[in-house]
Amino acid sequence: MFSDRNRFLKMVLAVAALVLLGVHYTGFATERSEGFRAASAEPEAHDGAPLLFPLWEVTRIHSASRYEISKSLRGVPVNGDSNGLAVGDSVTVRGRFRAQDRSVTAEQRIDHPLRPAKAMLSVSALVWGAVVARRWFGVANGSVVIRG
Amino acid sequence: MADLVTHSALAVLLKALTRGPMPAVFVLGTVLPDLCSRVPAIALGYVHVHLVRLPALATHGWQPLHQPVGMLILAYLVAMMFQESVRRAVFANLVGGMALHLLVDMLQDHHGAGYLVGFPVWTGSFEFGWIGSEATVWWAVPLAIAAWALTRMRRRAT
Repeated sequence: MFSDRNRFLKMVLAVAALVLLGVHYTGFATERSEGFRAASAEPEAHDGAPLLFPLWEVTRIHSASRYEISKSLRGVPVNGDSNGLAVGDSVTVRGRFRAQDRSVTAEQRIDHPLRPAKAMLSVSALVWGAVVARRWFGVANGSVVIRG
Repeated sequence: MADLVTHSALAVLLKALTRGPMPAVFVLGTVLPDLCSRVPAIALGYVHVHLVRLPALATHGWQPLHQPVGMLILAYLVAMMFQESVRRAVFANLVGGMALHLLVDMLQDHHGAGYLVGFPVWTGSFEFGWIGSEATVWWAVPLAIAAWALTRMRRRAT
């Protein structure tokens, strides 16, 4: 399994397996019978259905009681208090689907003000990793070698 | 996901405390799930939300690389890039780092969203929900300092 025999073929098969998993997951995520996408496709059948939008981005604020969030879907309308929100903020919204105008009536909004700090930490770690990677790993005879 | 400073520092601390081999590979293992799934998903998600509509595969297709089955295949793929003599050990360390990554992530609370740890066999989600999704922001720097100090102490001792 880990030998050099058919090494390239084994790596291609591993990549193919990952691609298939990705395609399968995408199908699962987009065709599931719950969520805003499914509710919008059949509004009347999903009126009042509970919805959860974890860590979505605020992309538009219409008024004090209506705003839009986006992530895998663009511009999901939310009926709820927009007080304290700004475009670009991260929020988690728990609410219910409203068939009348295909929107979400928010029951709970959780703000994530530390999201940019978290992103900066991860970017710092990636930069640090890129710097030290050459000290830890190298390439010889077509393979990665461990240095540190 | 916890931030990558926390993930890396915990991996360094664990390897320093256990004096296990291949710490660099273990740290690589703990970074790979986010590097291969979250980084492209966030970047393409930004393009999708702000610039141009992308097919769902572009924003969702990376997710299995942050799930156990995908992680195992990814670890195998990366291990096969190393020299034959160390591949098994590299695979074991990558899987160990990835398991630590998933464990730390599952401590977080995403208000019921959770992680699909059994995909594609089981499509339910799970998380312990013991800490907030940004809680690690406060621990990241102290953990990094602790990891650096412990590694330095170990080097001096040897």
